[in-house]
Amino acid sequence: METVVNKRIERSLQREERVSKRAGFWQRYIRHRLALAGLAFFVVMGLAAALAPMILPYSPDKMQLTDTGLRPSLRHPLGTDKLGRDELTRLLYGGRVSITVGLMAVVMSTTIGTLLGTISGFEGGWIDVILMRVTDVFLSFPILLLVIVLMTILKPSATNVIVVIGIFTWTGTARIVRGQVLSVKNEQFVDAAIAAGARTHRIIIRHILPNVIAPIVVVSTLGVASAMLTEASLSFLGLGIQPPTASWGNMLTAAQQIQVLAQQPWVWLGPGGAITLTVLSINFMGDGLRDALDPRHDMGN
Amino acid sequence: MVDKEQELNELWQAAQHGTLSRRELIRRGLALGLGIPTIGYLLAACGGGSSSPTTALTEASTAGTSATAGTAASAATPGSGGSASASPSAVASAAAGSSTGSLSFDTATTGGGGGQANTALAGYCYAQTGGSMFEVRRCVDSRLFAWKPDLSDYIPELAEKWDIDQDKMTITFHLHQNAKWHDGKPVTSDDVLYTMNMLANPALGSRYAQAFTNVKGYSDVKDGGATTISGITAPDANTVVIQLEKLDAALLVQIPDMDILPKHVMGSTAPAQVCQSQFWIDDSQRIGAGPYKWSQRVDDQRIELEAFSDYFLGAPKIAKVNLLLFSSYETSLAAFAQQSNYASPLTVDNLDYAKGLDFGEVSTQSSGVLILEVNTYSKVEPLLGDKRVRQAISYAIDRKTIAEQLYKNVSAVPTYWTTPWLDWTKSPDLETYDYDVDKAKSLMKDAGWSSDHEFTMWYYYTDQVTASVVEAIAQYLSAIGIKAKPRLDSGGAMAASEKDGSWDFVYGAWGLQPALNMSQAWNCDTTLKYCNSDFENTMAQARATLDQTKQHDLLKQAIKILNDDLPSIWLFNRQNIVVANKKLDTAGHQAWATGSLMYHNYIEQWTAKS
Amino acid sequence: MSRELIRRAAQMIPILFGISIVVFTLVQLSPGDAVDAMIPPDAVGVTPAMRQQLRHQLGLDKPAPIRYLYWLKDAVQGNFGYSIGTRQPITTIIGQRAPATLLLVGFALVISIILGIAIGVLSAVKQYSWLDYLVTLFSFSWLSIPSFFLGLFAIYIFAVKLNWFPAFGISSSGETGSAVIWDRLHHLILPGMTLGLELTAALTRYVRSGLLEVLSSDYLRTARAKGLREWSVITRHGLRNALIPAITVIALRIPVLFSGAVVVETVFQWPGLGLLTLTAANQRDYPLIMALALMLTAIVVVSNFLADVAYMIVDPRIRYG
Repeated sequence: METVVNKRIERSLQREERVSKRAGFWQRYIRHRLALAGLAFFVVMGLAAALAPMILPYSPDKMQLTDTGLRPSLRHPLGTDKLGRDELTRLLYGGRVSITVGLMAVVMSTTIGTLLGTISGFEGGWIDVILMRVTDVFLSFPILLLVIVLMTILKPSATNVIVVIGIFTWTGTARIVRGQVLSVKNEQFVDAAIAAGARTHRIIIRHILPNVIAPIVVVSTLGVASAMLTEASLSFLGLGIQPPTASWGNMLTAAQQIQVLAQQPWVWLGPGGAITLTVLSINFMGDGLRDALDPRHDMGN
Repeated sequence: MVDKEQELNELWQAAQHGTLSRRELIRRGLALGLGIPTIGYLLAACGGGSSSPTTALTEASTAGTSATAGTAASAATPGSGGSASASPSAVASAAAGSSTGSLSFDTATTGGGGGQANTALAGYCYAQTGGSMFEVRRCVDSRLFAWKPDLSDYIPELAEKWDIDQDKMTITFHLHQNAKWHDGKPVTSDDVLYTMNMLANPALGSRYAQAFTNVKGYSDVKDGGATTISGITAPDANTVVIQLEKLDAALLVQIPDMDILPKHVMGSTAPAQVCQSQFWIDDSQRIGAGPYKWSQRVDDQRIELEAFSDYFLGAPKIAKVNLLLFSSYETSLAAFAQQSNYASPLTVDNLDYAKGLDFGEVSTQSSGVLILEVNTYSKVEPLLGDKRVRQAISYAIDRKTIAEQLYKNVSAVPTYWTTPWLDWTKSPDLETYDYDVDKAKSLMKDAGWSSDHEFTMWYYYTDQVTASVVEAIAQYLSAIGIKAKPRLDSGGAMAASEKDGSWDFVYGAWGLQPALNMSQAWNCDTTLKYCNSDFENTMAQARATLDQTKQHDLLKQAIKILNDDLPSIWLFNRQNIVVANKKLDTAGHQAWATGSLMYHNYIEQWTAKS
Repeated sequence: MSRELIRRAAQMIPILFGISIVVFTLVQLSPGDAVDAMIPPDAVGVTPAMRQQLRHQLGLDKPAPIRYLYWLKDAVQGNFGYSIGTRQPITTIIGQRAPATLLLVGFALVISIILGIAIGVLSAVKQYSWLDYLVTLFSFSWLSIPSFFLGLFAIYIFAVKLNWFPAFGISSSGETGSAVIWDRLHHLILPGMTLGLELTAALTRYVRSGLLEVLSSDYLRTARAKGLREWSVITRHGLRNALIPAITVIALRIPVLFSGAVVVETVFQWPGLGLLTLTAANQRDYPLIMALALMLTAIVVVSNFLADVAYMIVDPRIRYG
């Protein structure tokens, strides 16, 4: 009797293992594929946005009052806006703005975070305590409210949006960097290096940073996606990029009117879809990177 | 009870079919114990049809008992409602004392729409007792007289009639005998004096103070030597006499804006504290003398008003009015589509959608001019003070195309003079500044323009159309060498730039108002700082005569000066678009003229089916 | 535990204090003040002198530090003053608008917990099936769609095209009695789902991974081998383990729901605290902005605390750690 049960258990366990191995491989393969697809899309979108002036004959800003509010056609694949400007052109130029803002905001927050995290982790002591307290406080801030108040103070512009997003999103990077620094700091080779008289910043650069790069890259990639979404929300609310400069967020403000929403879907489906797909592709890329750089971390298995 | 109802019904039927004589009706009604207003209603129903007899009658009888006897407003005379004559003392609305039903409409319908009215009391002391929201003032408050919506004449309110003696230079107002405040106390000349003295008091800082400039004794008040204007007197409780030192037409055109406030409530408040007074926001304190009583404000959703049956021009027919507060054009229109909101402002963008609603009726009327103001005293670019530059700007903007393409010739049409709603101000010698880029460029060259500076073009209307129009204007300007960047005002950022004179352009509006008010907008004290002695003198002369023809001629001269000098560049005649539910009957009166003009809309005669 | 509570409460005070100063300073730095915002820009005949006079009457011309101290003195007594724009007591204003936002956030929270756990469990149990892949794909998508686009899209499909739900607002006026509840629910669904979908996606992933971790662990294999029914294995042991990250996520995301409410309220014209924040900021109504900031900070701090507490309760290993 027992042998039968044992045999059954063993067979089911074996089956499970095979399935698990196969499925695990498939999971990773799919995720890998998705990451590649994301990369491909992002590259295409990025290139299209960057090369927009060469691809399209229209200007995104110059009005053409004879062609206002046209439906999509061969000449204007996404129609025209109120001032007769080609929507597809504005979409691509808007992409430039949105993607740039996202990238620059992350550059800023990564820089601040890395700096503060390194200092905090390396120096330790009361500097560390203070900086960690500051991080805690930043985490307690009602961020959106402060962002709103800030944007109503400052003149709404791309630069200000970058700065504001950068200021409020460095905590994640700081924590990661600090953690890495702490764990590496106690390694013996670091002590040896210090004993050998190596200078602080060389230690940091040669030993600590390489370990830190991997998680930073992942966090930054995902951070770009998040920054783009924040910029889009701010511009939608009228607090970010102001018209006439096109940004994917402020192109969606027009859809707040029921007539545009209901009867002119091409006006807003374009920019909305663009944001979603771009952010989606970045998320896939980030996930793929996370898999590649840290195979131990596995969300799905 | 049942018997009584049956008898009522019979009486009603008889009245409707005219089977009983008036004397019989009155006799029977009195026998039944009906009040006078109810009987009046019965008599009015003679030969006319009405939907629900029993309910109407029951409501009538309950309302009748609450009305005080003997008030002229509920006299049992059948006939139509108040007339526009200067002595409406005999008026009696047919449905006196029988207010029924309720009406809800968007407060912002007549202007300030799309979110500007969403804070219930925004600007309640706006420039010191411009009061809270125009529709509230129209319903709750009353003034000596108000405008006809086309500005052609006045409609008497608290003042039954008034006489102007040009030799003695006096204006005598004869107040209505029966005007009452919402708490029952009578409106007397004391209240009028109180209001005028308060408005003139410099401690309040009201923009209406200058209206009394030519009243005897005002200079003492202005200097702080006196708190009351000696030239305004009250010989008896129903008469107010204003003694002028100089004939002043400007005083008369500003009377409609001076809502009379109750002395017995506000009298003890110091003028400097008037805007802080709880009177404006406390549900129990807010009283006026208008057709509707302030009942309560519900959150940020609506202001509820109740019919004031003692209203001296006749008890309102609609029992309850809800002034709805919406945060955007969209929500207002959505509620209109559900028929829970009987009037909604429209923009060009949702016009088609509104036209598709078959229970709605779309109407437009002028609501002022859209203008581009120029900082003529700019330190950054003194050439903006050169009239040629401004004329160039005027030539460089293609009004016609913008009006067609962006305003669809509905919410705005091109104009080039200050008061397009007043036909008599039109004149063939006004320059029309038709679109002419070459002429513009040559004018700029003559003036020696060479600036590379990026100017800020402020605008404060938040709708999409304005945003596009401003962008279009900026592009027209760039074609003649002026770089301008549009910027939407938020939270007074624009006002801050006006404070220190750092503004460049403002795209805004000058609301519908009498031509005499031009001197309020274009003078040396406001932000515009337009100091032109020719203009000021012409306006002063126009102000000093009550002779219509002479006044009109002088005003036309003043308009010609502005048309040539262009302190502001007139662009479009703005149209207010409104969609109203066909079930709302405004008794033949114009209901939806623009908000800022204090006109009498006869809301006491409106009826609304549900 | 109570020591921790007291410690946390004590920590909150300097944070609140600091936030009030920061927000006050920020608002004072902005161009324009409440008086500028109050008077309509096209007001005719209003001179700068008149504006200054109104400022004086409203007490706005006192120096900034003095005004802050006045505010502080009242605030510690629970009196948050009057809104400059509407002259109404701020506690009243917030009290009037809070229920709408709480309703929205509450609904979003409940929906996302229910859906998140249900879908997460299903997905984990049916691992590697097409359902699982679909769910993974969708949960990525929900995290990528900007909430305002999602809202607009939802209005377009469900309100405009299908006419299943109303497009804007919190209620259709004129409803009475029990119809009010249905009406409210009717209006609540689209904005509530829009707000909650992001949390649903996140929860799904955490529940799924937490469950999978347990499902493939030795502990469960042994239990299964012992003959325990699959279902009880899942619910009693798997879920319990999966709930740890789930509860933490929920508690940490509550402040995110409140920020997300600003955008959702704008799209759906929902009259809650989100719209109030935007209006207050636009009108430089600093007492109102400060009261809202303090409230939000308190919510964030409390949520963080709740996350820690929940974690401690659910995972006994931590309690003694």
